[in-house]
Amino acid sequence: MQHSLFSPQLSVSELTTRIQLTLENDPLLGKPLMVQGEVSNLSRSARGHIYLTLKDEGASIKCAIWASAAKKIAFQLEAGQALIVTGKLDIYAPSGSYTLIISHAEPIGIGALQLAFEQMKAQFDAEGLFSTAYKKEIPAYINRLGIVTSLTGSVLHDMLRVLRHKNPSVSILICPATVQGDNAPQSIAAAITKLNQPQYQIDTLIVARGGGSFEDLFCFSTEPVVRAIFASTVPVITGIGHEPDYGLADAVADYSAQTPTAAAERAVFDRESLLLYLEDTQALLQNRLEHQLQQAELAFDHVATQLLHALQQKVSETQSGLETRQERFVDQMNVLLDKQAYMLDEKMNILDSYSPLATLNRGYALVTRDAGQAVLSAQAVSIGETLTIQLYDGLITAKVTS
Amino acid sequence: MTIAPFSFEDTLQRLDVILAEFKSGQLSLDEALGKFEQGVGMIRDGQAYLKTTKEKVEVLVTSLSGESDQVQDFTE
Repeated sequence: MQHSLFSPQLSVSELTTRIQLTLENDPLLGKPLMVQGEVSNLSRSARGHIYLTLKDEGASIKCAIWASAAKKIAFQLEAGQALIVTGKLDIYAPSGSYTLIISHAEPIGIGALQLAFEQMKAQFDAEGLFSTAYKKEIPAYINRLGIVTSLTGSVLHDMLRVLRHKNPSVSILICPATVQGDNAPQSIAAAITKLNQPQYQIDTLIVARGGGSFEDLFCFSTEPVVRAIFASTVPVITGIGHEPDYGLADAVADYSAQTPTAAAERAVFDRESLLLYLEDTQALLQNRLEHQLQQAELAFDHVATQLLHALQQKVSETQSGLETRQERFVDQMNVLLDKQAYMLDEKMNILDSYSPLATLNRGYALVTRDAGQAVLSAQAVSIGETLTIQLYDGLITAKVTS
Repeated sequence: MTIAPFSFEDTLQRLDVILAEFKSGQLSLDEALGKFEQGVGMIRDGQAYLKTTKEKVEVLVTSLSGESDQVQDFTE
């Protein structure tokens, strides 16, 4: 083999070191650089490192994302994704390979957060977390309202104003949460979980935040928050941002209001309306009772009238019965009397025919003494005695001369 | 610290039942009087609750030790 004098001879290590130095001193490759390519050969280690190959039509390069950087990537890396990554080339001498160590990755065509949002939305949707079957009814009448929001800013103030106005009877327990930044998801989730503790007796829970950018509101679409809302046994109303904002917290909540104040409006009943309703109900009850009393009175009157009527009828019936009986009795008496009279007449006639007076009619006379004693024999009288001679039409007083 | 909860849901439901019973005309006079008293009692309780309960806003404060949370009155 021919060796040129000008061709230096290097060991593998020397060559590798040379390459490393060359790379480090290269104005482009020596610093973090941005590379565009498509993800393939994606794998994850137990420690959370991610290994992948970025490729295009003509070339491919091995890449690694250490766990510390991987945690900061909001979306899930998937094979076939087109990415712009920021990283630095690294030579690994023992294996003679070069690797792009990625510190940051952005999807192409769609923002990282947007992609993360879409990915989580699809995942939660597949799990059924947004299903209406899991939605709890927001109670119409509550005693105690829980609020998860930031203590700073006007959102809490605005909500309290609405609540105070609509129903000061409902008591409120606020659990402050960080609603922006890296700690927000954990903070919000913890507050929701806390207010679910039974000793706080929360009837309905509001999770609220004022308006902001998609990035500002993104914490409400993160897994800890979505899962905490899903797990809440207390019904949750969200009021996050303004009308067009719709995050995953809204999707999983039992009711999603368009703004924090709208959430406050939805959470409590109107005290004045309820007072009016109670008043009306009392009037209605009174009315119904009076009606019932009137009905009872009417029914009583009716019965009393009927009773009286029946009584009168009985009396008149009895009376007429008596009268009829009396008439019949009189009639019968008359008949009886007539009969008696007739019989009496008959007897009289018969008696008459036997009466001495009847004999007198034929010219006989009856002689009696003073005492009415009949003189039956001529021997029974003495001279000078006064006798009475009865003829059929009168009496003659006579003196015995012979 | 916390106000004894009043169940309006329950109260309103029971009032509806009483009103329906009145409407049905099936109540005896004695029953009607009893139900009326009961209904008016519930209404008075509800009114009293609504009228006497003052606005109460509290805040859950995590103690420095981090062991327990405390409920404190909240002032804006």
